Amino acid sequence: MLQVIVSVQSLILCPQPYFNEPGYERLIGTPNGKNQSDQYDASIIDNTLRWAMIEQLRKPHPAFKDAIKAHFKLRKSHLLTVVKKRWTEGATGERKARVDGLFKELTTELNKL
Amino acid sequence: MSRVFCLQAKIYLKSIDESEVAALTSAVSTSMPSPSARDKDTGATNTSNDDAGGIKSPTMAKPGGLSVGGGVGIGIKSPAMKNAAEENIVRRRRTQQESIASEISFARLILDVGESVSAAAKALNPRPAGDPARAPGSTPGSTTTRSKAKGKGKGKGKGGKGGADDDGVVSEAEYQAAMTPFTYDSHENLSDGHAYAKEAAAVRLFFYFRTGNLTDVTCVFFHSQDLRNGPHISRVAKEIAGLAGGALPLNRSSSVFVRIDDAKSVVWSIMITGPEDTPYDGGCFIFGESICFILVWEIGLTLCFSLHQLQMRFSQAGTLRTLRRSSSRRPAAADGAPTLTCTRTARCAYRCWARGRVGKARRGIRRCRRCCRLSYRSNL
Repeated sequence: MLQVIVSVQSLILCPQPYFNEPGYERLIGTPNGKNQSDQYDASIIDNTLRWAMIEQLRKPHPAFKDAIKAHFKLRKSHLLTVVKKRWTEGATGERKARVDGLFKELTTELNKL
Repeated sequence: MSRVFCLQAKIYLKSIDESEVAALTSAVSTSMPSPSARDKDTGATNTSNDDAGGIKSPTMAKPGGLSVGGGVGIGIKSPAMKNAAEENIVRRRRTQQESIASEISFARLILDVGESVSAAAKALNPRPAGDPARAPGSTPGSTTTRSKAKGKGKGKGKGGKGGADDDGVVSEAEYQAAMTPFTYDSHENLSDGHAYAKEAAAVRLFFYFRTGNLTDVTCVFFHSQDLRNGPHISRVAKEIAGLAGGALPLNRSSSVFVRIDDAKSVVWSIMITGPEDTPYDGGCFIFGESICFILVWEIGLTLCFSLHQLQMRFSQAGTLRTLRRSSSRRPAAADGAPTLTCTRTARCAYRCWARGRVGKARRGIRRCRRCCRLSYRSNL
């Protein structure tokens, strides 16, 4: 069981999950692949912000309530500086507005802690 | 480590009802088990035995009642035999009860020791109010050693991220010290709304089938809802011991938290925080509603096997014979039906015994159903 958990952590939650999808491994290193992977990452970032952060702060899972709160308390500064900078870097237009809005919501939720 | 033992002891004690415990202990203390304890313990099987005995002796005495001497002879003989058999059962049961009682007392001892240890730890160094003192075993000393070991193991992966330590970001050791109490815990009613709650309830059923003990099967339907004890518990306890022994990854970058249901130790929820430098960075991903995958897999096999066994049992008895599948691989030719042979490949010798079973004839090749399916797949 531990092995399953660790493999999920290291292989599925990886920097470029796009290339985990079946059939896309051969695109690694090509400009087309890079482009596709960035788009894929963008959607993951949106969903991570919305569901794995904001939603978990608003309605935490009852079993993990304390763990989630402690985690976000400790990671607050990292999220609002390093991560925000990295994730909003390449964004333009509509997407930039969306990510900024999500980060604004996240900030208010984090300040409530 | 003491925490693990405590939890296991707790699980074990929970698995046995309080009334049952009392009955068992009283039964062990007296030389003969008290009737109430025995009835409770054995459930359906023993009561049915007693009933059979109770009915048998009057019926046997009735015909004997016509001739006085014969009636007395039978009347004495049957209880004597019954007594011998019953004594055997009682002896076996008593050894079982003794072993169970010793296990219970050992579990209680562990719990007592754990409580006293935690109390002593609290008295020695009171924790800050915000930090719940859940773990009696995790003193500050142990956490520091743990963080050192982790630092060694994960030092490689963190080479590029050293720059994040300044500007008020919590350091690695601080994060680990703060989060250690949360890594592993049990939780009440985790199985409410759990995606695999039904499967978990059925686990016990499968294990009963695997033992092949039909007397147990009669009780299955009353017990199928609880998962608190059974042969799988030792396997699960091993897994839990592995997790709670400090094997779970805990890093500032990414860590794993596990919660296990209080009553049903097969029901797990897992939370993984997203690793740095990924699009999942910092998010809390709950693979909540997932049971122990490995166990499910094993149990699936068990189910197939045991259902087959059960079916054989029934068919031998002459009932439910229709359940038995005829071997459809190479059916014998029924009389009157034209026998056709698949000509697709030389190797396929599938003889179809009815016209309906023959697949489409394409390009002059008569294919059996199986070949049709195979070729369809290969064309894809």
